[in-house]
Amino acid sequence: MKWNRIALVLITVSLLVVPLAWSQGGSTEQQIKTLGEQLNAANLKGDTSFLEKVLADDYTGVRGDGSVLTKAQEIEKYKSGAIKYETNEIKDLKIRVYGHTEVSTSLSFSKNIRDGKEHIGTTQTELSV
Amino acid sequence: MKWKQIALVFTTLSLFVVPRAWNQSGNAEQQIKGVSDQISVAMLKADTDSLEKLLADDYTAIRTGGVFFNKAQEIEYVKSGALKYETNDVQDLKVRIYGRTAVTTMLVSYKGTLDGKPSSGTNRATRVWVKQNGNWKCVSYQTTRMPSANSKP
Repeated sequence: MKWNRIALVLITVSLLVVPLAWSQGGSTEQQIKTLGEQLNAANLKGDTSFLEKVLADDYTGVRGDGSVLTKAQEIEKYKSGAIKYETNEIKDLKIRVYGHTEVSTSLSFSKNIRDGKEHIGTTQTELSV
Repeated sequence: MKWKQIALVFTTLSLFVVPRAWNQSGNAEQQIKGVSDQISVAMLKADTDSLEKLLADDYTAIRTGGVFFNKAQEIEYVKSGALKYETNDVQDLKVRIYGRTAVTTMLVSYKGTLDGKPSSGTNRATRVWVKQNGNWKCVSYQTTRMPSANSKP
């Protein structure tokens, strides 16, 4: 058995995987800031194709009235016009990174229509994995 | 160089690490249900020692109305009696595990006093747990008030 080849394969795999994991962690905060801005822009424009890509299949959103929306329900709300943002300004964004998980808190000053009712101003927490 | 020995060391390490990681993810949901129960009981009994252990150092809570608490403020809020529960029932607990992170959503029906005033109702709550040094720690908590039955048309 060619042990030297086996050892070389194992070491090579380690050398490829570890730096990749390390580099992803190093730029996570910037990635999340960018993603947050893109998500904000998508919410404003009602860009459901972006939401489709960026929301996890098991995504849940808790709305201001305590109702829970799945990914499909959230996207449908935008498609149907039941959720429509006029403005959505993010302030005081704070990001905490835990390995592959990120928790961000921010103040969101928004003016939007939800199910025919005007809604102004909220505080939110967002989580990305 | 003893390639055989190097290959054996890698293989042995893999045999130890992989099953351990597998086991941790396998019972993570049960572990999260356990710590969720512990935090509810700690809040009910104003057990700040348990809260000290269960909350991460950089824990944040956003309570109804957008009020923001860090770990020290949350514990002081309970310790001082400003937040005092008589009942604190958790229903519809849902757990999602993402490696070393867990997200829980639930309904919390409570009765108690808030800043000396009687308070009761039902909140939709979200908790985020992260495994740190082998222990699940709560890093984030957010509550959203559910409309009361009386407020519905």
